[in-house]
Amino acid sequence: MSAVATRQAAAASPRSASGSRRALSMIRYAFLILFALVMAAPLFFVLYASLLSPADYLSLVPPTQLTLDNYSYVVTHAPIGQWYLNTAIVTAGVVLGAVIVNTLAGWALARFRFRGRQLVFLAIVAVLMVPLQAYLIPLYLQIVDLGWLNSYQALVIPFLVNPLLIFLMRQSFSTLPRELEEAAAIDGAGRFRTFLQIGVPLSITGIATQAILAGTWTWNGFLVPVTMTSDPDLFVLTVGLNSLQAQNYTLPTVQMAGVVLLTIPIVVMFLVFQRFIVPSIASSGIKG
Amino acid sequence: MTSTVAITTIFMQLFVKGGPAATGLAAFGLPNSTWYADPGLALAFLVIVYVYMFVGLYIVIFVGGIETIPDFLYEAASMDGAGVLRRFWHVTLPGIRPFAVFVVVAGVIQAVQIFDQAYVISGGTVLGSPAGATSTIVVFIYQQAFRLNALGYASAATVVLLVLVLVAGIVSRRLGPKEEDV
Repeated sequence: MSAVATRQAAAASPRSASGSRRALSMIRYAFLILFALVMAAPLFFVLYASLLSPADYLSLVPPTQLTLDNYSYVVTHAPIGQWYLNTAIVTAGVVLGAVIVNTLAGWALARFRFRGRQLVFLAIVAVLMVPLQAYLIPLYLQIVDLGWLNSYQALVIPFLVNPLLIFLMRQSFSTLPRELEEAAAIDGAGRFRTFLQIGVPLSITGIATQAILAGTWTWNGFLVPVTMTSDPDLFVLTVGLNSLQAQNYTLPTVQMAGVVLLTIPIVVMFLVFQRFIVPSIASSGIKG
Repeated sequence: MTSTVAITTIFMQLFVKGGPAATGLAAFGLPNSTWYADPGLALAFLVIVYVYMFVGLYIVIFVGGIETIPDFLYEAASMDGAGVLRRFWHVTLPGIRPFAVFVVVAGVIQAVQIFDQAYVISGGTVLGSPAGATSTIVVFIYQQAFRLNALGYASAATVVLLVLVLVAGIVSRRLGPKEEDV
């Protein structure tokens, strides 16, 4: 009944219908702009606050009064260069190692027939759901036994094998047509050569997704490094920033400069790899 | 994209007593206090940080979900006289149901594992401070295992966490989008 009335009203006065549509789209844009402002505000705040002298904090000042003192304070009071280096070493180690290990494992599960293959695959899918926190304690005890506390190995070796990445690569390899591999075999390529020259180039997006996921997880990771390292010279950036924040509790401008320094590399990497990252989020539903 | 530690550090300055967000929200009747040090507000603070970090990802998932709804359903609905709200209610919402389930379950799994934010706001003192207000399950496990050395007790709590996550995971596989949709 009411639907009929609406339709008649719409037919009777097309102008008011387009007017209400315009009002609707204005409301929509107003909402979106407001939302974008709320999302962006903290980022503007951190950039602005990091450029203020502590005395000017939370007040508006002319651009000439902005200063880089906070950045030089951070650089001189914390081994931030060392933290960058540690983070870079650990991230590079995990990304390189994880790509090699998980790609090979995915290929084996997708292409090789061996006894217990289904069982291995099922086990990997089951482990997919186990969160890191659930095996933190045994992992810690094992790292202690190995004498690896405060070392790079502790942050790299346990994270080379990742069930999600194996699963990702297995799915990616499974979609490839077998004919290509058969053709390669007929041309005399061995198994490894087939993998390297047929499998890898065709699954390069899967490998890129893997690298991006492993990279963001490691770069932003906090729980494991804070558990495994206590020596400030072995801190990664997230742990370093946390200690910087705790030490400079009364100096918010310094903390904000630390946040900017921590975040810049990841923003740059995001801009460089953006065209790979968005499809990787869309296809996996997972973000770093 | 950025780390939880960085975002939490920013938000701590926004929600400190006299900070921009705390002052702004005081206009709406909320107390102008240091949110993360106030036992009544600390948990809300964690929620705000979490939502800020994940809302973008969930929007991307929903946009993907809405794009899977064929246009002709909307055309048919408007031909039958459905207005904007009814089209949203009867076409969009049922169309994105699997994605909404996925977001809810993924959100539950991730939220159950909250740790970094609570660690940062504790400032290196007792985890879960103020007064246990932010003692989420992982924070509790960490406090028991690595501060109080009660490894067995912490392991038992870990098993509880594992069961929670597994249940949520099974639910998501049952109700969530099929792999070919995502």
